[in-house]
Amino acid sequence: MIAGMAGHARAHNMLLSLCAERLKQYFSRRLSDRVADVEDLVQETLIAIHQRRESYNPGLPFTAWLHAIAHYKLVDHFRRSRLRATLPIDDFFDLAVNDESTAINAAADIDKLLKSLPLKQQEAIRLTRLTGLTVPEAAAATGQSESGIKVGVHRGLKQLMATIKGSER
Amino acid sequence: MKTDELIASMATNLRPVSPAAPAWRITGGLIAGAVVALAGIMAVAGPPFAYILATGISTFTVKLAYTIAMTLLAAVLLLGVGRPGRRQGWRYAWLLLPPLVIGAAAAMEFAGAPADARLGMVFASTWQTCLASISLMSLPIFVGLLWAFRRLAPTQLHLAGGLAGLCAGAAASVVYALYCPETAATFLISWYTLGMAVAATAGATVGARLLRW
Repeated sequence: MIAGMAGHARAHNMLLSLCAERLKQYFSRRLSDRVADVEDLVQETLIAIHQRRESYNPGLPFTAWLHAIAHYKLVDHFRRSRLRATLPIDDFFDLAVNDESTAINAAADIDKLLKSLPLKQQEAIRLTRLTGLTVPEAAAATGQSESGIKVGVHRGLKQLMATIKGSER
Repeated sequence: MKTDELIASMATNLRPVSPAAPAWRITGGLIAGAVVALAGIMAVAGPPFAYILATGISTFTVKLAYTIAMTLLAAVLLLGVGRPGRRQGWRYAWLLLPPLVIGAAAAMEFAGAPADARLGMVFASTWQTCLASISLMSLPIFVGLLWAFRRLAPTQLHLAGGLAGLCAGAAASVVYALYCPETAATFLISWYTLGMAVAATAGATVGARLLRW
């Protein structure tokens, strides 16, 4: 970016291409139902990045700047198309700098919660819900019966729900 | 057009930009607007500094200090709003400092004055002129600041508009201070601040429309 601002055409070209990729991901995740708009929005944002590149402060993280512009363009798009979209707050951080912390925290939380369950239910939930195995696969892997897995998942989740609700109170 | 072609076309004939450019743009817009405002008030009220001897240099200095401080603070915050990527949060609190200082001086002055002179201190004889002049003169300065924002990327438009209005109002009151015949701090805190607030409110209202990009 800094080289691009200084006038190096190749650096600028590379930067815009990288941004285009990222913006495409960013917009398509949020506009999954209107793929046609994504390309327009990517181009429009690229033009904004290009025209307003002065507004980047080299002392600040580039991703934060890019993200602020992309978010602005997305909101502007929603406003124009008169659509109200609710965006989960977590989505706003995924282009920002330190992103892994939430995922790691969530993983640790899940781990802690699961440990409170009986071993069989733990296994059943882990394999079917986290690892992504099917019920027969999970049954084969653990030696439990298929209905045992189903019941384990059901009871375990119910128990977890109760735990979470209890800890919120 | 394909995105690749668009990128290639934007990367050819690339004009280098300086990281200091936004600050220069805002300064330029501010000064150009203030010159227009000054020309306007000179056309109506004649040459400036007519009341300096009557009001005394120290009063004049206080007025200038207050208005210039507000202009600079608003301009710095405005620059931050135009360059996304960082929240300014508590920095806005700086805007309260000059009014608090002048407000404290005004409170002491007000408390020390005899009761029947107080109303006269607040309204004096020129409060309408003061308010009208500051509001009107903030217009060209606001336009100058809008121009400066053409290459910046404000993401909170009402906030950016409000700050631009405040900055314009404060700069207009710098110009007005060259003409103001009043001496009381009470007058300064009431009408100068209100003039800035009027400009800020107007800026926040129209900002969302004028600053969109």
